[in-house]
Amino acid sequence: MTPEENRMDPDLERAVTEIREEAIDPAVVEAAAARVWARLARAARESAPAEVNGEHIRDCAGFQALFADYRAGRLSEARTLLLRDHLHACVACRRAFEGKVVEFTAPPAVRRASLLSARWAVAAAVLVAAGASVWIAVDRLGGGMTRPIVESVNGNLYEITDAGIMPLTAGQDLPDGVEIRTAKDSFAVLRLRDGSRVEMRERSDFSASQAGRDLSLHLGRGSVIVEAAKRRSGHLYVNTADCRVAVTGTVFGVNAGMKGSRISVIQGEVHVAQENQEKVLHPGDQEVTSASLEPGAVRDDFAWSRDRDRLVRNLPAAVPARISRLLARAPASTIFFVSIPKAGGFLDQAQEMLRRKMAQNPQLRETMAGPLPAMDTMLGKLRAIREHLGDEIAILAFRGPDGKERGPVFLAETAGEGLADTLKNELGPSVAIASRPGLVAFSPERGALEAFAPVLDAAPNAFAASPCFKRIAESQASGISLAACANLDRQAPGGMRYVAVEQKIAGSQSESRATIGFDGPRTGIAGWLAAPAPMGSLDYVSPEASFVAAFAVNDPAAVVNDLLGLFHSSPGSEKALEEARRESGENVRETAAALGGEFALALDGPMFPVPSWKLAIEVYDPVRFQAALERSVETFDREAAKSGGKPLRTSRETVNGRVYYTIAGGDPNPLTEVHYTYADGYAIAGPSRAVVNSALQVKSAGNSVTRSAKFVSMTPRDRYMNFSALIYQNLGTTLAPLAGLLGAFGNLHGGGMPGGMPDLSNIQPSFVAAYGEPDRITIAATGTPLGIGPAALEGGSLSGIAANLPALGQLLGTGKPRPAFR
Amino acid sequence: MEPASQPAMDLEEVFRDHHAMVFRAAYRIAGNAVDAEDAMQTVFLRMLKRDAAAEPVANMASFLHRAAVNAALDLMRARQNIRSVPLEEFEPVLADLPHRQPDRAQADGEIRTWLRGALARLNPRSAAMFALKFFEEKENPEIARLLDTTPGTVAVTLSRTRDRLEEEYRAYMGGVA
Repeated sequence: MTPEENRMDPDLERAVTEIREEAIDPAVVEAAAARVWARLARAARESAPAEVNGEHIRDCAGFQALFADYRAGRLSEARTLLLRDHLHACVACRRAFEGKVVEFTAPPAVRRASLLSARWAVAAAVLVAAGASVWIAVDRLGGGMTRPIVESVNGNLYEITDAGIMPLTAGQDLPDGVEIRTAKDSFAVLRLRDGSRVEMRERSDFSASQAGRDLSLHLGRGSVIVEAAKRRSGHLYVNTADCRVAVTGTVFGVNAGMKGSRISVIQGEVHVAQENQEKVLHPGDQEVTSASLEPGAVRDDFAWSRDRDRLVRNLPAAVPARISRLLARAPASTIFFVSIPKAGGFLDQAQEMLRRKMAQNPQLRETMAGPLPAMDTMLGKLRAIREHLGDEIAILAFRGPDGKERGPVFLAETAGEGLADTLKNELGPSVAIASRPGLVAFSPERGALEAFAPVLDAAPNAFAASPCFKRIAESQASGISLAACANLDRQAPGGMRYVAVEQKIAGSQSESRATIGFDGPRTGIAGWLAAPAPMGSLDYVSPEASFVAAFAVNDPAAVVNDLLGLFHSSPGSEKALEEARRESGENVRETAAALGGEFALALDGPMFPVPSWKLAIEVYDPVRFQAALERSVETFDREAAKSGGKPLRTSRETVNGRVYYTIAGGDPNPLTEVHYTYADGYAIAGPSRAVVNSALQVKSAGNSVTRSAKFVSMTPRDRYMNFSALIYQNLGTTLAPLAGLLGAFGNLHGGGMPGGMPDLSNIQPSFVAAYGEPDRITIAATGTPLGIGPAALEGGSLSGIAANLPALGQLLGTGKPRPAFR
Repeated sequence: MEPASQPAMDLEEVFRDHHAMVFRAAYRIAGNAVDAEDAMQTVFLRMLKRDAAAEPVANMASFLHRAAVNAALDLMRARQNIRSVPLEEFEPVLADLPHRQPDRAQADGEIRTWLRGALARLNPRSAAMFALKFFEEKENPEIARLLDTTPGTVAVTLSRTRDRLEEEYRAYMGGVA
């Protein structure tokens, strides 16, 4: 054995192994490669051989001649690249650049030119200078430029700087490279000096930079619509984390979300490059960069624009989704509708899936309880005659003309002749059957089928006005899925109108989805959740995080108001609250008003000895927020002094220009420490400064959890770019050591995990996402959710969970029937 | 170097074939994507500027592997702005005090960060050998070829480097390691 093969210290050994096996998202590698290749191409184009003012850079003196322009920021990107590389390699030039005197060899003697030659040289120089001026005027001012100007702002637009975030107003000129961000419920229009127009949607993050004749827009997150001016030279690029869009003279939209990017084109030709592949898009085309993103209607990507009518007027009308023949036959009074595709094994699993969904969802269970036994029996028999069935089987219940509930009625498309006869043979004479060309309806309840039969001959789509119908149609349009929807009674709590559940096979994994629809815009607790939005707070969470919960709310102040109302509603709480307000000396509503509405909490690192939690909160006004925190601490200390307790320990320290704050309990205990700082419009907190710094590093490296292959693979496949809320857990690896410990403990007491605990070492990753839309909330889950919360969510029993909260009725809203979604 | 309107075709091929390996090797040293990207740029920029008359590279993958490790180590050294310490002059260079608390240092992530910083403080040649051996899993003869030395020297240097890192790690842990 050679000396170096002796084993190292176990800690170092483990660190070396971890470094060697660190997973790097291929998307990060390819995005970096694309940027580096672009710079190399420019470097090769502009400096082969390198020139200074028309002269080749032959030696160190040539590079030194670039120093002044470099310091002034006037050097092109390619030249900058060369100079930096030279400074890196050449000690003499580096010292010269740092202001230390270095002698260079004298340049070769200049050959004395004749007077005639000098005159020609002067004349040539004048001509060249004049030509260059014209070229610059035409090319730079006429065709290409860099700085955007804020043309209009509706709401708030911020400039993100190292010093903090600063509001921007219309008419302001934005320096090259500055990062700007629209706040929630805000909208901005930028005008580039080449005439291009950029619309920014709410919660979008954007910067622009010029390299040579090319102008690059960097969309960190959110959505933009670009009307690119025609150029004589160079390109306009829009870069997102995973693709690059190249255009000239076109109109297109780019969305950069947590799941990837989507590009939609209205006019002209757009080139989309991703992972060394390039696609060319034309008007009406759309491209998505992630397998978990489903394409949507092109015009939907422009629906948020103030100019949407003008933008989409030349697009062809959207092709209506195909409505299944069975759904079209549902009567207007349908109470519930279940769609079971024959493909994908859904028929085999339908009984079990329906039972599970109903067990998890009280509304669905209540609505479908009556017909359930008959459904169960029939489904069992249908499996035996599957070859006679068409692509879809539907089960429905409805209210008959007398207002009574009727059902279940089965509807099936036929595959060839003889389904009706087969059904008679298989199901027996007790089952009533009615057939039409290509369609068979049957029911164990003869009265139900008799009430249903007229619908088979009536005009289709009588049920189309129902939101339940729309939900089933959407589900069918998105692929093969088992979907069930129950229309709720008008007296359902919180204005709930329907509950829909769906089971879908997406790729190799199963996805569950549940939707709660409301009878109008969401209110109360249901109204807290914001529409799906990019969450910059997740940029601070690393791919190794074992648990992440993040959400966006419409208005933190409204949430606080609702919660204060809740306290008011509890007997005796008003006095206590008023007292608490006086004692705390702060206005909770004002504190909430400083917030942006995004929150992310993660377990991102070792659990022991101190759990490595991270909290990132969007803060629009850090000064106000900090002042409120400080007032709270002062009040706490005063009260603690009165009762003989110790005051909180606080500190504020500036390190490398960044201010770090600490609030800790009176007694030294790492578990009571909170360290935090403010960066890029967020407050980032953790149990130690190391964790806070690690969060900042994750953000600056652009290698957050949302870029990790594991996270992306767990996201549900649908048309949403972002989420309103999400819970992601990959606790298996983190809890494995604890599981081993508990397992060993359990073995001492007869084996297994103690106390009936689940086997922690076998927890599979899971992902639960919520999407808030104006009149509904959809919850989607992939993987194997852990615990009762996500499982309940998977079943769509959000209201069931919420029903256990106090004063739900008050928080969910009035519950009065209101016009359907406006 | 030949004038070109874009990187030469052979460079394009080299870039296409090896950019991921270069990025990953640099990432292992630097620990973050930004520095890995800088190192990748440095490596290929030097390839771009390479004299056409220079001796052809026999094994491009190995050559770029070493170049990536060196570029990333250079970058780490520049970031830390600290002097390299020859093995003979070794004295433990301590990291910031807050990071020396034993309970915090238990965190694997912090040990990785510490190890990367410690590599940047090593003699560049020793650091390159260590990274090629333990991160890139190269055999001693290949390391020797890449660094123009003998396998015996590589073995001895690696042994001393490992000893030094362990000693420095113990100092970092305040003697508890």
